[in-house]
Amino acid sequence: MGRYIIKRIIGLIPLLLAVSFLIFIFIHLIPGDPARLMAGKDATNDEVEALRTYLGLDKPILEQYFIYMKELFQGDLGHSLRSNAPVTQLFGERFLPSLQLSILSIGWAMLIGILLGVISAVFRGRWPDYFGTITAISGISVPNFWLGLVMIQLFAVQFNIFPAGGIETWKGYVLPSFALGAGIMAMITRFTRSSLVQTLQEDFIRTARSRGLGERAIIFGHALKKSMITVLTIAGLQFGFLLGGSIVVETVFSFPGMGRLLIDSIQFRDYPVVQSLLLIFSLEFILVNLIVDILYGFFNPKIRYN
Amino acid sequence: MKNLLAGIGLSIIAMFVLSACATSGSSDEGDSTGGDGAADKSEVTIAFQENIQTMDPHNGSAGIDNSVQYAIYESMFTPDEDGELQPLLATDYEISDDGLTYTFKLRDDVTFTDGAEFNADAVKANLDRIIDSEGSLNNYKSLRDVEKVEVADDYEVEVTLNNINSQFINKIGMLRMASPDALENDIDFGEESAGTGPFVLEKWNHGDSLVATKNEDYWEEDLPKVDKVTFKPIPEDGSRIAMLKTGEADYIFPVPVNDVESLEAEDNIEVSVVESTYVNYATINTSKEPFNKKEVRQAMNYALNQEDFVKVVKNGYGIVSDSALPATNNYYAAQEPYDYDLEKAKELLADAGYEDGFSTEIWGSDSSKDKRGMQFIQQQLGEIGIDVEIKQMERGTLSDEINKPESAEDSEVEMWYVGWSSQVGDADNATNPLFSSSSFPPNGSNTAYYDNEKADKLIEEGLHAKSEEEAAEKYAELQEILWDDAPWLFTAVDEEPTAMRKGLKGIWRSADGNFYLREVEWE
Repeated sequence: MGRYIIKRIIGLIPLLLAVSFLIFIFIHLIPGDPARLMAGKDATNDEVEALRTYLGLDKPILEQYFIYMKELFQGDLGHSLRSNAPVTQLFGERFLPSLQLSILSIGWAMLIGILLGVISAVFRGRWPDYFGTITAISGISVPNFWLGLVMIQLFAVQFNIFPAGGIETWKGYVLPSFALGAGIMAMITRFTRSSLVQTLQEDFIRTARSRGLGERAIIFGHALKKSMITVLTIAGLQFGFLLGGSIVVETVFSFPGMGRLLIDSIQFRDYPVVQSLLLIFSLEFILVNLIVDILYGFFNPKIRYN
Repeated sequence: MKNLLAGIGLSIIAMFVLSACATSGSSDEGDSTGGDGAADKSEVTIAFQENIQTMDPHNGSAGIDNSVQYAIYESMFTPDEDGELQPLLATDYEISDDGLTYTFKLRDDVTFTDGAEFNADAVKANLDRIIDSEGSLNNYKSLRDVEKVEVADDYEVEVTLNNINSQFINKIGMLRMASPDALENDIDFGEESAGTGPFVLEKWNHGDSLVATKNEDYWEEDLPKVDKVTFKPIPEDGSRIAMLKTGEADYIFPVPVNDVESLEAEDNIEVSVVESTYVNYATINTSKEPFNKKEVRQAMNYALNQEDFVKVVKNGYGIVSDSALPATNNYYAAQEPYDYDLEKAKELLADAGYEDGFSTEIWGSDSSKDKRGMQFIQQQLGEIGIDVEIKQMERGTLSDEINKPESAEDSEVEMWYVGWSSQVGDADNATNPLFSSSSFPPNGSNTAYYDNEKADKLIEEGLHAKSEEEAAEKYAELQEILWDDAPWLFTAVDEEPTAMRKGLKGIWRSADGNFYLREVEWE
């Protein structure tokens, strides 16, 4: 296992190099000139040129890439063109809130999702199943910005329990994590249910029943463990997406996360910020996948890595 | 199985009860979620749409940057609510007889928050930094014409220009001053501040909030009257309004015009409307057929019902344009309106040889607001047989498309639906980048490719006028020509609603979109 992990991590390096190059080229290929966007509509061409030189954007694109890579290897992600703040600082300020929000969202989504999924599977075709299905379909169909706005109206404006935005206290995380987790909860409910329904019909469950095991032991001890492989894959993928931040939910709740940083930076073509964020997102995604792969072995010891 | 279900049910109920207890327990403490209107009288929270981009006092470009920075860094002059300049760090100024040298007399009782003294050397250090940037600092545009800056006395600065510039005082007067020590040490303005203003930068959490606390040694006694001001970018309209209702924010803008009524119905909220300098219009590329014919452009203006534009596109919050300058500009001169008249429009089109109309394209940003404006124009021009196709583009792409062509011949834009905001005292910025033949993209925003020698001359003469009266005369004549030549499809000037908690005083928005809060306090 240890060797497998080390091998995977070494394999990351060429992958990230390729990703960094692609990101760099793509970002510089999209139309839009940061110098002109920053200088404003009343700037003369000379002023725009002066700004472009100052920002180092007048150099050939490959040279810019090598400068970027050189700094990257020294642990320097560069400075924002716009605010001149170091990218590491901008990133640092957003990373923790985004991580916490992602964990909370995926946490409650998995907790409720698996519970509802189990209930639906066990009571297949009866009212608890319909209840689970309706909850799941609502969760998937309701757009999260709408859910967010409704929750703000209800819990912030009417009842005054949670703030409408910002994260001064822990309460600021509650509504966004619910808005963000609702869809994932629904997805996990559906996957848990279908996977569990299938598992419950398998031979080893019949064997377990014939051995006289209690229903609870069968579901939680045997069947659910097997179904977790599917659920874990879904949850892992979703968690990877969540870490990248949600532009919509962050905007609705004025949440200082990665999604808003990314969208603001793209609008101004703030190259250093955009390329660093995308690189970090790629890394996060790869790492989450690696962790999920390792967890597979925990739920199904037959899965071995060599 | 029933046990399992009951167990799950019970645990869910327990979770709800627990969380309810937890929340009701802490909301009794009256922390940030307390929305009963009993706001903390020593703090003010201001929420707006745009993100704060930079705290470098010489590099603010967006209105938000400027406004937030004015709480911390002061300028030699500041506008009052009528848009008239009043002394702030300077006490007075004089202009030499040849109109080229400005002498500023400075206050002698001001220190920066890092301990440095505010004096002529400090002003020179600030101006030099901007001039030496040669364009990499946004404020450079204000000092384009400066030849040299000299220290005349401890509290007297002389600024000499290359050319007479009738708008200069509005530009240099508004530049923010930072401590010369801070400039020399190249401090990180996002981390710390060194101004003379009523507030000091406490903490800037990029994208979340910027907190400024009272400057205990502020030079004007009794100010500031609150201990803390928090600035918050809240991009979503609905959230911003919710925060005002819950008391998480005390002063918000922009307020979507659809929400004004519901906010006015609230007991503890007040809405005010400011007539802005933001002019909405569509440029008409005068270098292209059929727009090179004045009759065609005038016909288009007669075909657009400006009053309906205000009603439909601006929900009533706008003022019909009757000049290229907004009424809020000091040099504004009203013109005879293009009354909505389809017959006349069709006649003019026929005179120009386009009785069957023609097809064209209008460009604009990808915002839904701009889409609404363009659809209105499309519908109105359709009435006289002009078939308009709407092309929306993301802002970076649009900027590229506009600025790529190097000359009028290469230009591809036919109409551009856009807007322009300028300072109330600055007619040059409201005309030169838009109508001067030297401002064709990429050198400016004259996407009408308007090329009129007389207008060019008046723009120059207005800028270089020796007296206010002479400048006013030149700009009035210019506006007359622009209105008649119609290089734009004129629409309306925005009125901007702002909402605040009742009891808040001393904070106001200017027509050019800044807000000022030196004297902010709770009743």
